[in-house]
Amino acid sequence: MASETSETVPDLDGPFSWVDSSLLTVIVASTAVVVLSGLIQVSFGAFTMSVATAWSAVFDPVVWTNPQVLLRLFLGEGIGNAVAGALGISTAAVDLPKETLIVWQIRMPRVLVGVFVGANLAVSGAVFQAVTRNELASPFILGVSAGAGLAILLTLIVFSGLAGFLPLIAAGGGAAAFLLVYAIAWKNGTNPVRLILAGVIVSTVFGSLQTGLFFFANDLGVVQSALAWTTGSLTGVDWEQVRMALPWTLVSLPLTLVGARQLNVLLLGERTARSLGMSVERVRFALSGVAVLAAGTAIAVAGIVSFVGLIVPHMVRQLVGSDYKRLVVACVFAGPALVTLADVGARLALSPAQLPVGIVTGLIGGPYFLYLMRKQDGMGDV
Amino acid sequence: MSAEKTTGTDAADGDDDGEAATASGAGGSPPLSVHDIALSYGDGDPVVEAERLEVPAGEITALIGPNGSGKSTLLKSMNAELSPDRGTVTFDGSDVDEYDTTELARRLGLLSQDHVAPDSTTVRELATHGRYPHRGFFEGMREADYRAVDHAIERVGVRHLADREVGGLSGGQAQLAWLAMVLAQETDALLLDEPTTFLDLHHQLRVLDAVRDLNEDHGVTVCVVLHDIGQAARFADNLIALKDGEPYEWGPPDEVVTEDLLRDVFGVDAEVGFGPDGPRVTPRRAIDE
Repeated sequence: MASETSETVPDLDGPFSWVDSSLLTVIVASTAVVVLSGLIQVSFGAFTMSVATAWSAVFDPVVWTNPQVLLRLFLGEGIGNAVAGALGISTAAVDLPKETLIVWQIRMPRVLVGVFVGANLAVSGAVFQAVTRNELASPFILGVSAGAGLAILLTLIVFSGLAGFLPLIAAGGGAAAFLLVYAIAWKNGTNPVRLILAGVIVSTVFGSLQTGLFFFANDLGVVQSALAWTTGSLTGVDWEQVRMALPWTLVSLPLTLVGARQLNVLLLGERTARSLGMSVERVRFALSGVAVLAAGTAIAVAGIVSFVGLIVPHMVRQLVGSDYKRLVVACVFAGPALVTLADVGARLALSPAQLPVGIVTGLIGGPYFLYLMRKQDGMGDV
Repeated sequence: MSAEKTTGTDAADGDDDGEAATASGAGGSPPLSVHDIALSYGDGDPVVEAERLEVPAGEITALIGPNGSGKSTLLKSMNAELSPDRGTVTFDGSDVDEYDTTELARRLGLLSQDHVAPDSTTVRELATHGRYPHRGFFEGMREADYRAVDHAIERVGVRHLADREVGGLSGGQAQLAWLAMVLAQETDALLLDEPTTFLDLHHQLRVLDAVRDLNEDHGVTVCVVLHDIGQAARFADNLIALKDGEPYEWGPPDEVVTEDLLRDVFGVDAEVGFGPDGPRVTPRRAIDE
């Protein structure tokens, strides 16, 4: 007994004592999946090149030794040059070979956006599951997806002049629907059950409105575009989307990590959280806001990719446990792994035709859930 | 307000005289008192009404009464979970509703009945949550926090379980882990909502002993809801017996526990004897209502 405790006391010290072997395994394995999926993803496209050529383009030293190239890609021409200038890095133009240019300019964004989408959705789901204390919650159960979907259809079909702002409108629609859900659930405070019921109500009504709107679509292109948005797709994403997702991701993920301790305390039940001095409503609302921001970021660049926010936290919980510091970090890695892998499937399954990635995640997610349902009796409780 | 403050100080003084040896620490423990309150849920009729009740500083007070008599409701008002329709509950002389939530949590702990924790939480992690009110939003654990967690685990006697997951513990062990969390909070007063219900005898005594030790060593004020009147009589310094949401009697156990009380409040025909540890209750039969 004594040896047991003396072994474990030391790892309580230090800021990273909570990183354990299971978390490291998830991080390493997920990173491997992302890298591998990325390499496969960049090897395919309209311009035929051999796998070897594509991979050597990814690791092309010209890109990696000239930081201004990466800065320009991630931050855009103007800001990239400005930052490079400020850091004292050369801003000279760099001539890239054709293959490198194609891989980096055209194919890489799809992988990176997949990474952002996966991380944001997974973290968002993890937060919603703690806030509602329900393992079956996801970013979309609280009305976010219904609101985003309705906003997308309204924009494409009714207010087509605003199509340029579609990503923002989609994310805004999600946020608005979430506020509506919160307002409906509010009655001297909210509680997890009322939040979920309100989410179901809002989703149902908004879903009907969406279906109704399809009748007013007068051209097939609009319908296809609407479908791509409402099922979630990474086809045709560009550095533009990377630049859009990057700053918000850098806001929402650190905020979630900082909030991990609050999430852990929320999981102890409302009464206990309160008796520990937490302003439960305020914390719940603030963390939900962060989760909506993360989900909105993902929606803005890829549309509504289903199931990721639901299953990633779930899978990860089996591996690293319910401690939210570990869980959130694991989600940040495992989410991208799922989305990039699914996107490889989306590209290759019916090649040359490409599926929206949301269809693949849905096809993976459903059976995985079925498997869990059969295996686990107590499913539903966090 | 000033009148209430005076009562508060009086009670604290009285305690200092009586148990000066145990009520150590800066200022001693504060008392909880109830002034002419009515408590209700929503817009319903009052569930609890009480003129005046005291939970004396540095002592253990047990709330007893049959199911539905308002024990837990009264406890909720003491923790500012339920605002009274009228009247006030004061803690250390101030209205509990006016405390900042963090401030109150640093001084008043609650072991609730309906606690849940993810199965994979370890006992130590759970106890660490007790430090929540003492840590700022961005602050990590400090030396004092680790020490408080260690002391709590030690006091409750779960050191050998510290790295076990709560989901794998027995009900009694889990309850001790929860108690460790509340003790790690290092509050001046503790509210315990039926801490021994559903536990085996061994763990019931473990819980009560840990609380008793804490009370004796640090003079922590304790208010506990107990189901078993015999246990309450042995364990507590004072009893508050509730009947249909109103105090029937309150005071030291040997004054409160009588055959009349058992008949009127609990509906039980019982024999009350007096042993060395206070009144001894031998229930005979339930009285038809």
